[in-house]
Amino acid sequence: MKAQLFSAVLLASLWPAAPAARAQFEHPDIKSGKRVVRSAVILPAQVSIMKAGVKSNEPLIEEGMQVEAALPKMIARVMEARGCKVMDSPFTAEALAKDPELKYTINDLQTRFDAVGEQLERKPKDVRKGRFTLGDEVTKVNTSGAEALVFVRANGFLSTGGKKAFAILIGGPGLVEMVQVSVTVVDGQTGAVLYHGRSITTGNFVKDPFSMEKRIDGSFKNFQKGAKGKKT
Amino acid sequence: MKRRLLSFLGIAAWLLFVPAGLSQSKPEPGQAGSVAAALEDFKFTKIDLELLVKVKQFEKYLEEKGYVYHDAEVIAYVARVGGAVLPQETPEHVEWRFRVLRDPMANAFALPNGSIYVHTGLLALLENEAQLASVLAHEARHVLGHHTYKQNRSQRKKMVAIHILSAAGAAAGAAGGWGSVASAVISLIPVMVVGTIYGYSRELEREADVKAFTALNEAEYSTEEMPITFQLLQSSHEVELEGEPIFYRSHPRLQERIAYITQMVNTIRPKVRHPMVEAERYVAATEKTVRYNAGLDIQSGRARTALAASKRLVRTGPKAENFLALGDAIAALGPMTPEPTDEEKSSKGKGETRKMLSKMTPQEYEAALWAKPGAAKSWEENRTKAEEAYRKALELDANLATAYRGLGDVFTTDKRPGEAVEAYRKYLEMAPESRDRVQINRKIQELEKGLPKPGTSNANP
Repeated sequence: MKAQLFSAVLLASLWPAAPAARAQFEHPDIKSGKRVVRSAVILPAQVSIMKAGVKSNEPLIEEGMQVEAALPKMIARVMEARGCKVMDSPFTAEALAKDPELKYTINDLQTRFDAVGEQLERKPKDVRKGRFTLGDEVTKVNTSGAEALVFVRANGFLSTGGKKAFAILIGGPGLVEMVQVSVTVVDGQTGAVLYHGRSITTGNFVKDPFSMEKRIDGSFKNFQKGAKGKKT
Repeated sequence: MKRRLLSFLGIAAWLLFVPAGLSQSKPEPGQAGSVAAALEDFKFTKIDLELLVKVKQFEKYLEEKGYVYHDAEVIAYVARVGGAVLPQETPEHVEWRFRVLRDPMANAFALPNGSIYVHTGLLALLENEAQLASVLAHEARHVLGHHTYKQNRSQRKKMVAIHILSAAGAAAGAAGGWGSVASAVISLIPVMVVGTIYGYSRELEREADVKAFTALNEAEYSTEEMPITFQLLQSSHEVELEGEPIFYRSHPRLQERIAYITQMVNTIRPKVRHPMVEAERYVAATEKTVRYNAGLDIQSGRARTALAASKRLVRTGPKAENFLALGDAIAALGPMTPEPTDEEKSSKGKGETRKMLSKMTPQEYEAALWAKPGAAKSWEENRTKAEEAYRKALELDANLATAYRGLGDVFTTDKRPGEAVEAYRKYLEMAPESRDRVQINRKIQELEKGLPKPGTSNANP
């Protein structure tokens, strides 16, 4: 009983910290329309999914890889609808298998992004001040000369039937399955963070990964908005 | 983000375990008390086999994401040394494989399917083959003892693992999120495998140590090197913000391990009169990897560790590539002193660093270091030594293009645009297809903006 009460209090205290369903943060140049991104390359997405059960939580690595494959297609459609051509990814599994050095370089850049990402997640509003950059190291992977690189992260969890029943009976997390997707557009030459969009999708996103698209689209509502009517 | 996710998952898992834990007082098979019995007669359960599937997926993930280091020579060497300390019979569901991970943190771990992973950071830290053999023997004993399965079966251990997850998350944040495989994949690996990477219970670690000692002796390696290995693991060239190294948080304290292994060294007679140490063979086999790891250290903001490794490289093999690594490490120090100052090591200094790392991006942190008193003086000394190391590398091998790139970087930081442009141009001329050519060309363009136009006086005294 004590434990249940404690769980409820902890959950209630955490509730206000839950992120908004959609959020977007634009670099001042993107907002003003001074800068228009006409082409982009999406880097391999990094997805982490946990299955919450009554006894333990388990990662769903295989399912995570399926979502990793689906996300770039959705993001490409969302970006293309806003006038940004998404180039074919030069980072296919076959290409990376042939060129370990390229694989290492991408891994290093993803790690660099995550290092900046710590602060980006902490104070996403600072994107609007132009605070974040990955530096010109990004040019090492930007072999196709795209104007921007796109970093994709997703973290989500699914629940087992037992966990859902448990959540209904005693409360606590696990009833609602969800995934948070964050998409960050970075200048392909300087590494400056130009746009950061976040969305949360509820429901079984592994069974229906394309359910995330509408939410991602919502998190890109302001992308290139300032450029409307301007010659690109 | 990772930290936030970790805390969230940690809390979620904790909430789950509180009610579950209250009703679970019956010990699971394989818990510390029944280790010896379980070793003799281990029966695989459905849970164990499910774990094996997860482990396979985890390995695929490591490979696909670029964590596995592909250098046939060093892998063959590690496999040869590891093979010498393995038993003749291969247990069920085990296929021995030795792999190297691109990670500057000194660690090694074994998966229950027999895959033993050694970080490049560990290879850079060790000094000889006997030390490597002791690590591999230790990891193999975790596999032979079915320790991962036992950890997985124990609910209590999962709770420990969750605490380790939170601690590791915090440490990853403190390190700027760089480098560590474990921190990068932490949210993906099964909770039970966390123990595999971060250390098992004291009992299981001790068991692995004791059996590794015997295996080492049987393979005719010097057992005296085993406690030295632990001492090396304790050493650091960086300011350690964590009290205890993260990978040994749940291990018996390193001092305790050093004590009981030293006692074994003193009481158990070596199998042969002159057991193998093989320092030279080790240095020759790992030299390239150590150089590679120095680059990873630099990327991880551990320039001092890179410097210590490259100094050792130069000492053991005064080759052009090693001087290049030395130059890179010294240049990467930037405004820092080669060794941590007393101020940095003080609790106030550590507190300040923690605060800066938690609030700043890597670029902001670097800028803050340059703004500290004494930064210019440190750089003055560093740049002179870095330049010397690069020049020495070029003296030994005039075709070493990357030494010119290093010189270009030093001159750029030193605000000597003319020399920087010249060095970068030389680099591009020698390595026109290099992956960073666009970056270097951009640097040249930027530097040229600051160069005096022909016919004007030199604006850069």
